[in-house]
Amino acid sequence: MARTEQQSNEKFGGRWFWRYASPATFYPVAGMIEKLCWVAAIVLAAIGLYIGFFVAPTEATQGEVYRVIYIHVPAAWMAMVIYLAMAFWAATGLVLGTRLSFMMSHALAPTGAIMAVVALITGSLWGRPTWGTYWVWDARLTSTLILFFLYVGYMALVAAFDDKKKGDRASALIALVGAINVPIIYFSVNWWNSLHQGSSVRPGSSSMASTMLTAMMVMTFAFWAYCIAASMYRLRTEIIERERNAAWLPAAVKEASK
Amino acid sequence: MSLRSATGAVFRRELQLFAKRKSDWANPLVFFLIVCALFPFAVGSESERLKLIGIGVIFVGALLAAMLSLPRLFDEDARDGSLELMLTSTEPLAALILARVAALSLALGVALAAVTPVFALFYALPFDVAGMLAISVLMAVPTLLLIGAIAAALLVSARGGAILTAVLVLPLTVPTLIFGAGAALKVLYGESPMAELALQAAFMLLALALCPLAAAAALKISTD
Amino acid sequence: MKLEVKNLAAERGGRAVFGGLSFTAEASTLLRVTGANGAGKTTLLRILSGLGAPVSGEAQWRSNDGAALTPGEATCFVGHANAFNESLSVTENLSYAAALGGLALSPDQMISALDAFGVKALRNRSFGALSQGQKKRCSLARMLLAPTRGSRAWLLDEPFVALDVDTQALLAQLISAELAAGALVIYTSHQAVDINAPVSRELSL
Repeated sequence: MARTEQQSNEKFGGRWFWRYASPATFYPVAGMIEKLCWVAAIVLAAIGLYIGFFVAPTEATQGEVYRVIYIHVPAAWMAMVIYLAMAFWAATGLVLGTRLSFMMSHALAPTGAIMAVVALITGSLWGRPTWGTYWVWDARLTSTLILFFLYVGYMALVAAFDDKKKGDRASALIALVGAINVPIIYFSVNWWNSLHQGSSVRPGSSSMASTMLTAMMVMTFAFWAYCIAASMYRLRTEIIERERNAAWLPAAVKEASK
Repeated sequence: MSLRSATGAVFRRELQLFAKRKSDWANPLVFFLIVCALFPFAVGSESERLKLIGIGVIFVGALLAAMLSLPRLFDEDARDGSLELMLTSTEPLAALILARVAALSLALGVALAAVTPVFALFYALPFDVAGMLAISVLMAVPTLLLIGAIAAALLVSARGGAILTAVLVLPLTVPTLIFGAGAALKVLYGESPMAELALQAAFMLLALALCPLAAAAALKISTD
Repeated sequence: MKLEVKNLAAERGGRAVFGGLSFTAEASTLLRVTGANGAGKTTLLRILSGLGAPVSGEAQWRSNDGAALTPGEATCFVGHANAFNESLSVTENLSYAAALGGLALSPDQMISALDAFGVKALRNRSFGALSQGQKKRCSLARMLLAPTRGSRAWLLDEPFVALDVDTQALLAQLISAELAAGALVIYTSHQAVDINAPVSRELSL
C-alpha cells in the first residue's frame, strides 16, 4: 500500500492534483496563500477584537474577564484542528510517499503547539480571577495539555532522526497513532473530570449574546487565517531547506521576494 | 502451522531470556519498590494521607517500571542483528511482535501485579483495594507495552531513544491510568469498579488489534 | 529459483546509491557484487532480502515454475551481524532462526549444519562465551537450515571476513555444493575467493 514518491509518480504522473505534490509547483502557490492569509488574519483579528472588547456586553456572572474567550476558545479549537490536519497530511505522506505532505505535517506542528500553549495560558489567566488559582484540572484544559504533549513528542521525534526520510515516516506514524488516541484521551479525561468533580464554570460555557457570538466567529476565522499563513511560511522555509540543491529554487525564491 | 511455530519461538525465546537473566525482571521490580518507597519521604507518613495518594503512586510506579523495559523489545536484537530474522521472516511481522509483547507482558505483568498488593500495604490501603489494584496493573501492563512497542520500534536506531520513548508513550497512557487507578479508587470508596474494568478491557482489546500492526510498520520504517 | 530485478534504484540516508539497475539471475548462478565502499552493495542485498525498500523499480523472486515468492520464502540472508543472542545457547539461537524462517528443523539437521562448520561441539554453549571466529561459524550455519539443499537463495554480505583460511575454503566448498543443488548465491566480497560455480557472474555497482 505504501509507495515511494517515485512509485506514486508512475501511477499519478499525469493527473492534475499531482502537479501540486511537487515542491517546485507548490512553493509559489504557498507564497500566495501566505500573503492572502496574513492580510485576512490582521483584518479579521482587528474586527473581531474590536467587537469583542468594545461592542460585546459585559458577561453577567463572570464580568469583563470572560473576554479572554475570544482568544482562548479559537486557540483551543485550532490546536485540535491542526492536529487532525497534521495527521491527515501524515497519512497522505505514508500512503503516497510525497515529501511535500510530510513537510506540510512538519510545518503545521509548531503552530498547533503554539495554539495549545495560547489556549493553556489564556485559560489560566481566566482561571485566576474566576477560580482563584492559575490552574485547575478542568477537563478541557487537561485535554489541551495532553494535546500539547503530543505535539512536543511529534516535534521531538522529527528532530531525533538525521535521516530526513526516516524521520518523515516515523513522525507521520506517531501523528496517526496520536490522532487515534486523541478522542480516547478526551473521552477519558471527561470521565475522570466528572468523577473527581472539577469546576463547573468554564471559559465560554455560559449562554452568549449574539454580538459575543459574532466576535467569537470572526476571531475564529482570524485564527484560521493566522494558522494557515504561519504554516505556509514554515512550509516555504522547509522547502528551501530541503530542496536547497534543486535547480528551480533560486529563481523561485527571487520571484517570490520581488 | 509455521505461523504457530514462529510466534511460539518468539514467545519462548523471550521467556528463555527472562529465565537466564534475572536482572531483566528483578530490576523493574526493584525500581518499582524504590519509587513506592520514595513518596512517603516527600509527602509525610500519616496513614490517611498515604491512603489518598497510594493508588496513584503505585499505579504510576508500575507504569514507569513497565516503560523502562520497553528498550529490551527491539534494542538488543537490533544490535546483535537478530532483528533481521524477524524482519525477513516468512510470517507476518505484526504477529511476531504481538508474540514478543505477549511474553513480556506475561513475565512483567505478573511480576508487577504480584508485588503490587505488598506495596499497597505500605500505603495503608485495605486488602480489597490492594487486590483490585493488582488486577488493574495486570490489565494495564499489556496495554502500555503494546502502545510502547510502537515507540520502541520507531526509536530502534534513533538518538536519545529511552527518554524520547517516554515522551511519546506517557501521554498516550492517560486513559489506562485514569481507568486503571479509577477501578481501585472505586473500591476504596466502596463502589462497583465494573465500568472502569470494562473500559480498561476495551482499551486493551483496541490496543491488541491496532498496536502490533502499527509497531510492525514502525519497525519497517526505522530499519529501512 | 530465479531473480528478476527491474530498474531498481536505492537510497541510503537520503542519497542515491544506485539507480536503473536491471538484471536477471537464474538457478545455479553465483553472483558476486562488487563496488567501492558506499556503492550500495549491502543496500542491494538488503533490498533483495526484503529488509530494505527500493526508491523505485522492483526485485522479484520466482520459483522454478515461475510463481512469485516473497523474499522471506526465497532467501536466507547472512549480514555483518551474527544475528545470535549472546545469552542463549547456540542451538536455542539456531532453532529460533529456523522457526522464523518458516523451516521445520529436526535436532539432527541442526547438528549436521553445525558439523559442516566444525562447531558441533559448541552447540550447548552460551553464544556470548564463544570467540569471534566461532561465533561467525555458528552464525553461518544458519545457511544450512533449509531441509532441502538449494531451496533458498543465499544472500551473503562479506561472508569471508573474519574467517581463517580453512574456514574460507570450507565456505567456498559449501557455496559450490549449494549452487550444484540449484540454488542462487549472491555475495559481496572485497577479497577474490575461488568458488566453483556452474555460472559465475559479477555485478559491478
